[in-house]
Amino acid sequence: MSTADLSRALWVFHMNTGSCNGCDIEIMAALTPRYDVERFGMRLVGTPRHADLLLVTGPVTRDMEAKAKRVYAQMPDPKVVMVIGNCGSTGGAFHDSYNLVGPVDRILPVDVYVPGCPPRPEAVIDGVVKAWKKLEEKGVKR
Amino acid sequence: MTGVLMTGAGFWSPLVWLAAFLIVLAIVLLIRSTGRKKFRHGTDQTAAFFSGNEAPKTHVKAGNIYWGFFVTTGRYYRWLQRMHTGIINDYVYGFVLIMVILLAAVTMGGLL
Repeated sequence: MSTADLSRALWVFHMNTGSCNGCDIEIMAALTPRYDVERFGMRLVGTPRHADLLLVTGPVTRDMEAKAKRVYAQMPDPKVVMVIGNCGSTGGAFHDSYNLVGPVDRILPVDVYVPGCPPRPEAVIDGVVKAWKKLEEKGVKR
Repeated sequence: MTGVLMTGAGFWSPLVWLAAFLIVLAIVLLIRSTGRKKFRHGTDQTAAFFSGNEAPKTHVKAGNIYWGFFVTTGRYYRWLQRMHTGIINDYVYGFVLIMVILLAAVTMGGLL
């Protein structure tokens, strides 16, 4: 995928469903000048109603289940879901916790997994590119 | 009423205003057309975002958050309220005053 394929800006909504913040820090790192994904038009937005991509971190605690579903429902179509980190992908260290209803794919239809504890920003960017392709397959034309 | 008013300092034409309005309207519609059209009405996609929570129904109106706007512009509105006395003579006086100022401006512009 080349930059010529990036026909439009990708707007991302980030949701923490009980993460330790490790993955969230790596997402922030992808936005720093060292990686600077904003140059491709990728940016975090403040509401799911403006987002194409839902970035989910954390294993989904019981209290966050309804909120995660609501945030997903509030995103316009087409949309893709990307999970960052081991906890969201499999439950990780908390997989048998009494207070866990995740991992994320038990709650939402996940398109891309980026495992790691936490994954490096390069892995996050690679996952975003895959998500972008999926979004275009789903017909991203406005 | 479509004549051009020459003032000496420039001109004023309703057609220019109309053309400007249409150009601005076209730009607004162009920007609006690039917006997202795939929101499904009647679903959560058009509901208010409240940090993932269900948006509460409240008796507190959104107008309450505009207090700073009202305080800042209150002085201007109080000045306008004082002008609106409800007495027709005051309104006619205001009308004549504005006409005098405008005529003076146009005349001075023509003389310069």
